[in-house]
Amino acid sequence: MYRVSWALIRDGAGDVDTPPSPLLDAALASRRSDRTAREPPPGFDPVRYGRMGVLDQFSLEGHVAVVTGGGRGIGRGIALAFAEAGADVAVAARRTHEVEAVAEEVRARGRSAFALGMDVLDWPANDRLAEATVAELGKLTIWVNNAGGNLDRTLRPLVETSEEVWDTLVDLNLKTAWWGAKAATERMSEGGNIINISSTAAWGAAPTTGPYAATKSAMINLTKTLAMELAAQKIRVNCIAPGLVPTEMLFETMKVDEAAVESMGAQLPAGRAGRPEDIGAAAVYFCSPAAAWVTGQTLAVSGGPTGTREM
Amino acid sequence: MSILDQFRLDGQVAVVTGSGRGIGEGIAVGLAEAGAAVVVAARRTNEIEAVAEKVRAAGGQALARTTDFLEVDQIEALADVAVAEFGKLTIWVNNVGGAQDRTARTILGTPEKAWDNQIDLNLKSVWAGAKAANRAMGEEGGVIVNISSAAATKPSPMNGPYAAAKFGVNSLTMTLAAELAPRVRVVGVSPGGIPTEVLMEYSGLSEQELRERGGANVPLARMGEPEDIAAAVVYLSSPAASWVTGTTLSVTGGS
Repeated sequence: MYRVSWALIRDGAGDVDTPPSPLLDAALASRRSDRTAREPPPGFDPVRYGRMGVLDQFSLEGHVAVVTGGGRGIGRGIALAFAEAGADVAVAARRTHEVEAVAEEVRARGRSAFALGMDVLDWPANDRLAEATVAELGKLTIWVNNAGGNLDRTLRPLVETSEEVWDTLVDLNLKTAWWGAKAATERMSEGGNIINISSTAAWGAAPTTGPYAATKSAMINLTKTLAMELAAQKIRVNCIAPGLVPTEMLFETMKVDEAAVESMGAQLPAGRAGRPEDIGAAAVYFCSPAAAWVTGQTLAVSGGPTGTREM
Repeated sequence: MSILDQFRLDGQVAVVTGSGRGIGEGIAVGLAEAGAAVVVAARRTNEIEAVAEKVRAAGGQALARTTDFLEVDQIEALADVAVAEFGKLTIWVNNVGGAQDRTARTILGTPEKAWDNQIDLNLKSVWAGAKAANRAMGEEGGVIVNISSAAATKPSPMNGPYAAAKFGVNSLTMTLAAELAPRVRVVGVSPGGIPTEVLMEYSGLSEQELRERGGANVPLARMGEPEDIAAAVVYLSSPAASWVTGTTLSVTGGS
C-alpha cells in the first residue's frame, strides 16, 4: 500500500509534508471560537454538537453592516435582510432621500440605522462612511460593495466606448470595491466580512455592456485575493453574482419595464426573475457564523445554472 | 416574515445518503435542527440507528434505513420509504461517496475493480439518487443537494478516480438543474479537508494529527467541521435559496 501523500489530505493542493504554520497554535486554540457555544441538546455529543443550533447560526446579531448603493434595488434588499437577521445597518448612496427612507425601514425592523448621502466615486467619502459608521453604530463588521452599474444607462459596443466612460465604469464597478475593502478593513479590528456584488454577466460575452462585465469578472478575482490576504485578520471575503433582478438600474439601462423583465424571468430555468430578497438571503448566509469556513467564494444567485465557476 | 424564517425547513422531509457518520451525519443533524424530518441511510445499521437516535433526542423525526448505494434498487426503495414514512420527499442529499477500500493509489495503479467501484459509489450513486428523488418528489418538487469535493477541481495525486467522479458530480449538478427546473432545484456543496473517520482511516493519521497538519495551509487556519457543510446544505435547501440552482458552493476555509 502506498503511504498516503500529504497532498491528498489537503485535497490535492500541491506540495507534500508541509511544515506546520505559525497560525496553527492560534487556530487550534480558537477552533470553534467563531461559533458561540450553547448548551447541547440532550443526547448530543458535546464535543461535536456543543455549539449553537443550525438556525441560530444564520443570525447576524451583534453585527454592524455598511451597504453601499443601499438606497434601492439589490442594496436595499441586502440592508433590510441584514436588519431582519439582527444587524444594525449604515445605508449609503447618492440620493439622500432614498437612503434615509431605507434607514427608516431598518429602524422599523427594530434595528439601529444610519443614512449617509454620498458618492462612492468621491474616494475619501468612503473612508468617512466607515468612520461615521463606527461613530454612530459602535463598530463595523460587515461591508457590502454593492454600488455599481451603468452610470449613464447607455448601451455601447466596447470599441465605441469613450475613454471617459470606460474610466468611469471601471472606477464605479471595480475601484470602489478595492477602496471599500481598504476603508472597511482598517476598522474591522475584530474581524468581519466583506461582500462583493458581481453579476452573472461576469461569466460570458456581454455585447454592449462590455466594461461592466469586465469589471464584474474582475470582482470575482478581487474576492479571491482579498480572501487570502485578509484571512489572518479574520476577515472573510465572498461574492454574490446576481442574475436577472428587476431593479430601476436594469429598467433604465436595458430600456425595459417590469413586465418585460418578468416575462424574461419566466424563461429562466427557475421560472421567475430574481428578487432583492434572494440576494439578501445569500448575503446573510455568507456573513453569518453558518459560513464561518467559507471565504473567497462567488455564489451565482441567478435562477439557473451559469456554467463553470472556474475562472 | 423575517428573512431568518426563510432558512427554516419545517415540514420538509429529507433523505441523507451516507449519513452514518462524518459529513453525512452532520448534514442529517443540521437538517433536523432546521426542522426537517430526516431519513438516515447508509450501509452500517448500527451507525445510522445511532444518528437517528441523536436526531430524535433533539426533538426531530428520524428513520434509519440500511442502504447499499451500489445497488440502484435499494436507492429507489429508499425514496419510497421516505414517502411511506413521512408522506412526502422534499430534500435529497447525495452525500455517499469515498473510497470503499480506503486505499490511496496512483490513477494508473488502480485496478479495474477499484476504478469501477469508485465511479459507481461517487458518480453513479448521484445519478441514481437524483432519479429516485425526482420521481418520489412528484409534482410538489424539492431540492437535490450533491456533495462534491475540493478534490474535483485540483490535481489529486493518489486519489484520481475519486476526483474525476467528483468533477462529474459538478457536471451532473448543472445538467440536472437545467433538466429538472423549475420543479426541482439541484445544487452542490464542495467541502475541503474535514477530519472525518473516513479520512483518518484513509490517511492512517489520528484526528489530532489530521487537525494539526490539515489546518496549516488553510487561509481560515483550521480544518472544516461537518457542521460547516451542514449549514451550507441548510441554506441551499431552504426557501432562502429558492432562486439558486445549478451551482456548487465551495466550503473550504479559502483553500
